[in-house]
Amino acid sequence: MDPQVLVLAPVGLPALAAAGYAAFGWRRATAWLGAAAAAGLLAAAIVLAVRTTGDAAGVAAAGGLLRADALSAFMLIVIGAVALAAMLASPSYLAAELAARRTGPRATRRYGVLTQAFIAAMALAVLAANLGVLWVAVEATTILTAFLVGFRRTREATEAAWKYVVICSVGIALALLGLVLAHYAALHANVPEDGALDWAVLARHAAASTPA
Amino acid sequence: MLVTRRRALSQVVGFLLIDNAITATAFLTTNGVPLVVELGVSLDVLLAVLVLSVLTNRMRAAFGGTDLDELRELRD
Repeated sequence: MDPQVLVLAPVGLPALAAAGYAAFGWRRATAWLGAAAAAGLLAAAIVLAVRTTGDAAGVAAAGGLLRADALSAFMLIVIGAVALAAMLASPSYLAAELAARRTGPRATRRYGVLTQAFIAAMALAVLAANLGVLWVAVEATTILTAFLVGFRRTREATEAAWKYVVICSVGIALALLGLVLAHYAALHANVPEDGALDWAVLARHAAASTPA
Repeated sequence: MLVTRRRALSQVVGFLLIDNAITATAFLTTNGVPLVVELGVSLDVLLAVLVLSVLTNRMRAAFGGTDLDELRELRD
């Protein structure tokens, strides 16, 4: 299979499933769509792992924005396995919530969209070739899961969601400071401007950066 | 602003202050991060603040106010 497709599928499949939930909502016909997307992600991750093991160059895709190496393939397998387990459990969980009238069609539609978008953002985070894109994807996972943490709208859920968003966002904001400093250090080590946040370029210039 | 944990709004202001300071650092040290990253960061911060404002409304509905002293059900 074309390696480009293998790198694009882990981000693209959950994104398509999220669009599907946004269009059709959570119903009997679409309940297993999320599990199918997660299974596709896991399959692509396993093929990618077989391809990239022992190959230091990795596979690039999407005009150099995405890049898969052995470590990202391993992380993708972890994400795919957890996502598949969660999406297999989701239909019965939401059916029980709907039966107990604790949730409604709008909330379940949002659940479908947010879980799939969350999986896509996590896959993007491990596949990003650029440190900046990685940061944006990690922050996106926090934002997307905020309403999943507060899904039940009770006092505890609202409190947990608030604390989760504030603590994670501030922590990730501090990571942005680290990113800015890494960018500064890379430019001082004569890394070309357009590759100053690119993993592969940074690794090639690692010997020249301070305090080497 | 963040660590006083008095009001929901003051925590949001504290978060924005941190982000402003980091962006200012980026422009002082270099010419700023690449444009794609800059746009992504701005979008993420905007969405984070929108999420926090929705949560503030929910908090007002659930607790009757945005005093963060009320958030003491989850602790070690």
